[in-house]
Amino acid sequence: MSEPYELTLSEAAMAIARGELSPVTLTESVLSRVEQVEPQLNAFACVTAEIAQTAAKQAEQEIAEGSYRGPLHGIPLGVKDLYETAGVPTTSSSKVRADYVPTSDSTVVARLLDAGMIMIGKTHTHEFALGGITPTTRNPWNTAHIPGGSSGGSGAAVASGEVMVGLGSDTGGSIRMPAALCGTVGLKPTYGLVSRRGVASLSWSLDHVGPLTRTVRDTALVMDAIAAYERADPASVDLTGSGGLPGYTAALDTGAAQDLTGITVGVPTELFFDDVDPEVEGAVRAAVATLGDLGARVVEVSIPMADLIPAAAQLIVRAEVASYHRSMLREKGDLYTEQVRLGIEAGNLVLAIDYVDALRVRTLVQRAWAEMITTTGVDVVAAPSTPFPAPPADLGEITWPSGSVEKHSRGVGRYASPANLLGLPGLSVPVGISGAQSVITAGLPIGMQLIGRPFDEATVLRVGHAYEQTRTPMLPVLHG
Amino acid sequence: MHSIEEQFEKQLDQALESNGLTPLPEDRAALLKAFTTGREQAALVFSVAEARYEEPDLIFSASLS
Repeated sequence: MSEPYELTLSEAAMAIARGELSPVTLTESVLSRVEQVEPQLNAFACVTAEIAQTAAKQAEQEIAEGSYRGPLHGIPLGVKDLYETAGVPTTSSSKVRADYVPTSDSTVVARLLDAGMIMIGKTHTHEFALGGITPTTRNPWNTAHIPGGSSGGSGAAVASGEVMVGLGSDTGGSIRMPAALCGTVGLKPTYGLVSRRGVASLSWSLDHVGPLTRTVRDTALVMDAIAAYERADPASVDLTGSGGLPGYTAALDTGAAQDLTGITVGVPTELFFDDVDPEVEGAVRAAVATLGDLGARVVEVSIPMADLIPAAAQLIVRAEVASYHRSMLREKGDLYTEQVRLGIEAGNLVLAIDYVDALRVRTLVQRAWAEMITTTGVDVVAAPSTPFPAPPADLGEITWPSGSVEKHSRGVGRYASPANLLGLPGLSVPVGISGAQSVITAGLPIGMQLIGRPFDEATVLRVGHAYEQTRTPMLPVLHG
Repeated sequence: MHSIEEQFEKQLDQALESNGLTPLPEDRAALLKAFTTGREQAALVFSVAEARYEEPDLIFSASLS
């Protein structure tokens, strides 16, 4: 048997259910792994070892007494430091909130703890999620490189075996980017599907929360626990009237796992393959061909209003982030890191009429996207998650063959905004490792993004799962 | 007649003043860059939005997603 920390969530859950693995043994294994690799990765803002050990003993006792709660019982969890956790500091990786200790759990954390998960600690975020780098943390595949962000701590922790599930948030790719750069699966659910109550906001109308895991099935298991209507999140959507929530794990087991007959995959002709690393393009196009081999119909699709999507998204983010931080910036402005403070201050300069126009254009893009789906019959759009693999930690810039020059820190999120602006589900799945032609370097993970129809996570997960069955799981070689 | 850069600088100063912000000289350059980018993005967005000003239902609603 592998070391327990090397198991996927699904494998560990089966072993626990059969009585072959104790939650205490699993927790000790991941805590040892944390001790081993944290000096290199620094994925955690804080490790809650005592809380984890106590919870693991409780889980072990409950299971021994016949009170098994389900497949998340006894499974290690990393929580992005934006999520409120009762009695545990929640700093948003910022000095501004260095002393903040919430008295209650955010909704998602509460649901996962109720399902029996064991919180191992709080994972680093780019300060207040305002960036795609996570400068505190390194990439397990090459510790000279970034893990992506803003959920970089969760990405690094999941990829390296420090936890089996990492919680993330995604306003401009912050789940999908670290998932792609660290070689994990990451799902940004549909806007309104998973409650954001108790999670620090970056931009209210673009914020989403979701999981990073090692496999698509693991993501489905987490989604079964966290997708739910909640009145306290004004964006939350009650799906009771439209048939309720599907079983995400059950959807993976419907029919033959690798048969995609009846599914249409759209490959964009704009935006997503502009100025892209040749290794990324090659891996994603090969993965799309595999989806075709599995029975999917593959068609080209034109992304409507492609040039407007990043512009509208950025205007909205800037205005909303400045509003969220308005009083904190006034009272504690000198405690922000310079890059984040300037990003917020820039938001003060967005005119109200521009913000309103951006919201109106968002609706136009949404209608055009819906029409594109209707006319093409596309179930998922398949595209790179990021234009290039994980950049080096000292960051730099790329001169593309087109002649454009792009900073790593800006370019990494270039493909993320459509799913955020339109609230669509976006799943990043690993599809390869970069080779010698990469504009970054060889040996780094590559992610493919599957963007689905609203609230159709079941199809997105099914396609990702079918693809995943054709590959050997990738784990980084990282020795403490 | 001012150049577009000079117009942006003037607009930035007005926006900073109306927000009560007095940036350090080294921060002003970064803010000007962000402000210029924002104005360019806004112009792009406006180029589409201005033709649809009569449509009252364009405010984004999550229920549409």
